[in-house]
Amino acid sequence: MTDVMRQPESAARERGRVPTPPAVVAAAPSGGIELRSVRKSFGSTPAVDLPALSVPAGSLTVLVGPSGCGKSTLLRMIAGLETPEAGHIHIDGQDITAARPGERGVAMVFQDFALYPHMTVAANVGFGLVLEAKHAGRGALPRAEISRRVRDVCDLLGLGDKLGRRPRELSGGERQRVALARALVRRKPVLLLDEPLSNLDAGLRAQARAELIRLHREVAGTFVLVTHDQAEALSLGTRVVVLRAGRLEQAGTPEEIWRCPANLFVARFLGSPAMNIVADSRGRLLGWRPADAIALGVTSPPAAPTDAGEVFEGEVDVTEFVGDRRMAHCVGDHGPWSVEFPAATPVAVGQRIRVLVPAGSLHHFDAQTGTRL
Amino acid sequence: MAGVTLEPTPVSPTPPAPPAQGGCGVRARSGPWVYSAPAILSLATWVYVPMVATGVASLLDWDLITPARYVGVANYRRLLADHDFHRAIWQTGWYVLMMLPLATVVPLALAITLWLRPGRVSSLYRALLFLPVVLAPAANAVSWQFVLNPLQGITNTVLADLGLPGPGWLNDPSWAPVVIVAMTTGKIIGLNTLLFSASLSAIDQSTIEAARVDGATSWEIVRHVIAAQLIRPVALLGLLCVLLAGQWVFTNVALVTQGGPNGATDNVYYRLYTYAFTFFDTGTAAAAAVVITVGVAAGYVLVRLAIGRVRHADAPTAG
Repeated sequence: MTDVMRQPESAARERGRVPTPPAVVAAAPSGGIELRSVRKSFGSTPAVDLPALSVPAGSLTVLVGPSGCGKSTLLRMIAGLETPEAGHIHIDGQDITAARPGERGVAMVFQDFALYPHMTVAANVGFGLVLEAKHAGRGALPRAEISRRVRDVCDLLGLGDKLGRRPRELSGGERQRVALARALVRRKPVLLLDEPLSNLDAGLRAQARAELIRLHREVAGTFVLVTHDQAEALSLGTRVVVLRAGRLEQAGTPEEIWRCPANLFVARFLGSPAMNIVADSRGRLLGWRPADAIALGVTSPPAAPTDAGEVFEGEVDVTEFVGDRRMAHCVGDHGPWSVEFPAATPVAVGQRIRVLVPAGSLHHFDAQTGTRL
Repeated sequence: MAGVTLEPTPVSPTPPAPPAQGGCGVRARSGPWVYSAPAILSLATWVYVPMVATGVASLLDWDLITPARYVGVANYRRLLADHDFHRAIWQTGWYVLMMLPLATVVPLALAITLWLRPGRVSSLYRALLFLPVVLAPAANAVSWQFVLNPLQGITNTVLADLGLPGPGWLNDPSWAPVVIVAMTTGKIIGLNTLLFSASLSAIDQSTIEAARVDGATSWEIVRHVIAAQLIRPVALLGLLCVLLAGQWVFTNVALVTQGGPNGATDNVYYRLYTYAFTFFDTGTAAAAAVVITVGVAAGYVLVRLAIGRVRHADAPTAG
């Protein structure tokens, strides 16, 4: 894999300094992960129970779910930091279930970055390579090559002038980039990221999100990222895996999951504000997103199902101003629901409003099982 | 309250002029002295004045009873020619060398082992290790005397049952210093293991996981990630050992062997004590105190230099 990566790199070097030194660019993505009937529990609580899950090579797969859903445990099992009780994990076709963490072709970025506090940035980033060189024996990975790779990846992440610093002398964003550099420098096919953005403040997080997407494009390896933030999952992932209580709820592209949530849980979990769920007269549950409703004005022919969609009527209970939009939380005949209007729409508390939800925006769920109909 | 608004206080570019009243200014200037006076006074009473007094006493011929007589550096000359003092210096150095690994490496290894295998057994073991620390030093020394008694002691009884010859532990010049070190380290190891354990609990567990993912073996994790983060406490305890090993063994030397047999367990602190309270030669004892202080200060500087060198080479480097 290193050979594959080195080729475009040398070409870039001949052209001299390029804006984004492609120090870690692979020609063909590798790092496809297959999990087969993987199970793990802590005490009597099952933490992960997955019959089958695959992470396509070259994808940026996001594991998302509420806390305690097993997403971190799953990531740690891929890393080799937890051992599954049953099942097998394959990376690029190789069964690595019993392999040691350092030998399974993964690198990892930890939630709290886990930098070695007593080492400089350069030593932090180079630690894995120094060990690799030591284990491989003399001459396998010369010292000059290690320091060149450390410098390249630090340049790529804007840490070029911080090589001699210790972690405590860095800002949160810089620490996060050191953690990324330490993982990237080893050029492993799989990069695992455990809530990498949660320790950054809001402004930095948006920036880091874009940087991660760009990095994934440049590195072209497989990224597996864990987050509890559904918005982050949708915006980052090329593939999103929704987990709850250790079980797979749905996996697919962000668009698929957004358009066709497989069940009530996924429907409610994705999107902020959350999807409205209202029981209809036939015992089914109807779901619709607050932004998909069309206001019908405030005068009153009674609500009736139409071919074009469903009409809901309710009384405005609370209004919320959210920048360009205004949220109205209403009490309807079949339960509470919310709707988003343009900010200029005059809605007052206590007012009765009617909205039309087009048929294409309606999701139907079984009231008993919660699965999509 | 109506009409009152909160406005930011204008920030004056220059600090306000000092008040015209002289009293306030004096109080401001004397404040630090007032607050630190208790500390300074007690330090002066218990440290600085006795130090000066010792320096003065080292120039006197004085037995604490008859009037003192100024003798210049005669005490120093006699002390530095005293073979007993020479032997005590060598013996003290020997104690330092023996105690150094027992005060640093062994407790560090114990602390890391206990930390890597947390659980009920390790808690129990830690408690057992710490037990000797809370024993009264005198009781500890006396019970060791019983255990090691050549005729009735349990050690030699057991050895005899096994058909092995039991040495006269405390009467044999080659065994006695080893016994003294063993008696002392029981306490030192327990205490230092606890101190290292405290430092270890500050280590972020996830750095160890990061090292595992980085491909480090268990030994490399212990060496480069765990022990390397404890360089400071290790160095500090090593430094303390160099400075204090002679004092650590003092109680056991004074209570168990009185420096014997034939000076084999002597050290400079016990020698000083002998000059002062056996021979009542206050001048020589004071001179010994001055020499020891200078020696310890020199040891301190040397160790600090060594630590400075270690700190620059504490991690594998890249780039």
